[in-house]
Amino acid sequence: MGCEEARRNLGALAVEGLDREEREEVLRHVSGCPRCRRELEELRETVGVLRSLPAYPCPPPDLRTRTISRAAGDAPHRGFVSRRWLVLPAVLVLVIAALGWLLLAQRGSSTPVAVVRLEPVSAYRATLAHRDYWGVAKLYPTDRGNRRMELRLHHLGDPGSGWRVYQAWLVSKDGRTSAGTFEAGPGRTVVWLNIPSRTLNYDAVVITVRDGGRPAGDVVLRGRMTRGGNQE
Amino acid sequence: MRHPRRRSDQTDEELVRRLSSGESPGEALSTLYDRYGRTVYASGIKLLGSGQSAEELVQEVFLKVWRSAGTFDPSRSSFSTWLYRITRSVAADMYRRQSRSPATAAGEDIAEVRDTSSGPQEIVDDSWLTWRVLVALEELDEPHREVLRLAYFEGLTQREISERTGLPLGTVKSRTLRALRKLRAGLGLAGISREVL
Repeated sequence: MGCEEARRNLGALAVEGLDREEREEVLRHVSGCPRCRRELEELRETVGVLRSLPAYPCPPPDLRTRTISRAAGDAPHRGFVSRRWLVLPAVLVLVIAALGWLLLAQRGSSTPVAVVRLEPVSAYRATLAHRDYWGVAKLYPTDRGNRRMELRLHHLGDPGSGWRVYQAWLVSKDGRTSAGTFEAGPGRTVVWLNIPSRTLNYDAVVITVRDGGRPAGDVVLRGRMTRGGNQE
Repeated sequence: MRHPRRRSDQTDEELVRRLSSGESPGEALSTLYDRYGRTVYASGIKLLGSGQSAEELVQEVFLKVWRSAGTFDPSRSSFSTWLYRITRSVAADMYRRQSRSPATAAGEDIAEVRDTSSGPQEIVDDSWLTWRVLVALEELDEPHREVLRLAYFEGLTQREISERTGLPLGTVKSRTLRALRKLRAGLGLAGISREVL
């Protein structure tokens, strides 16, 4: 028997699966062939490892269903579709709806009822012009009956002095009403202020800068109300 | 696992991540059962000595896999090793429970296991080699696994296998040889007989 034929039988020999005559013939070759002998030893070692298994049983066919069903029933997720994947979309819908409602409540309408271009008063005109300042106030209605004022101010603050506290005022022939305070500095400032619903009784908006000595501060910006439109 | 992508596009580790994240966990567990159910069951037979106990072990182990999926760290061990530790732990608990049960006192069910070891820890430590062999067998494709099962576990000669399966005798011999070579490669055999976890 040649090497090639002997090697084809080595696996069968290792598991003791050859007829006696075949077995003896292969063994004769192996005894004189170191390469085949080495491979037979390795194959027998592998078969020896199989002895750690007393048997190689198949589980009952229905064990798979019983196992998966039990796990699905007892596992923390409970079921084949986790509750997380059912709850998550619902939470997202609620969050989006709440954000939308808040946005609408705060913004009311996207169309302003009045627009005020805020120009520097004479004492500040040169300084702010040098900084390329511009600013506008837009008044919007809300669905709660009041109004909100959006202030957009660019380069109001002095780059050297940082942020300062300003105050917005609604002005009529009878006097002025505070619309709130805010901080502004170099660059762009956007502020939303809640204001009374009778805004349209006022004629103008002024912005003062607060300092320690004078609570109302100096008037920095002033603008007359223009009813409606997007006049920036 | 050396061949983690079998009978599915997903690795064992990806399937465990699906269990912990709740992404079609039932499907993920079913795939893991298909890969390892027989291994756990056969280990249960060896460890606990009865088919009934092995079935209970399988159910407990896969339930624990699902419950504990979030604790699996693929950087620390393969899924196969993690599953073996769970199997060993559950089997040891079952062994202790059975040791205290009236049935054990009557010498039933796990008497054979008790005869070969001084305690559950010794039994399960010996089981690592068994586990590795079972996993390596499951990694063989079906024709090679079948010829080994018939040749080794059923004790059929090559000619008897040929007659039973209808395969030519030469095909049976070549499959037996290739199955043993693949099994050896799958086991990374050098030194395995002394390897412990």
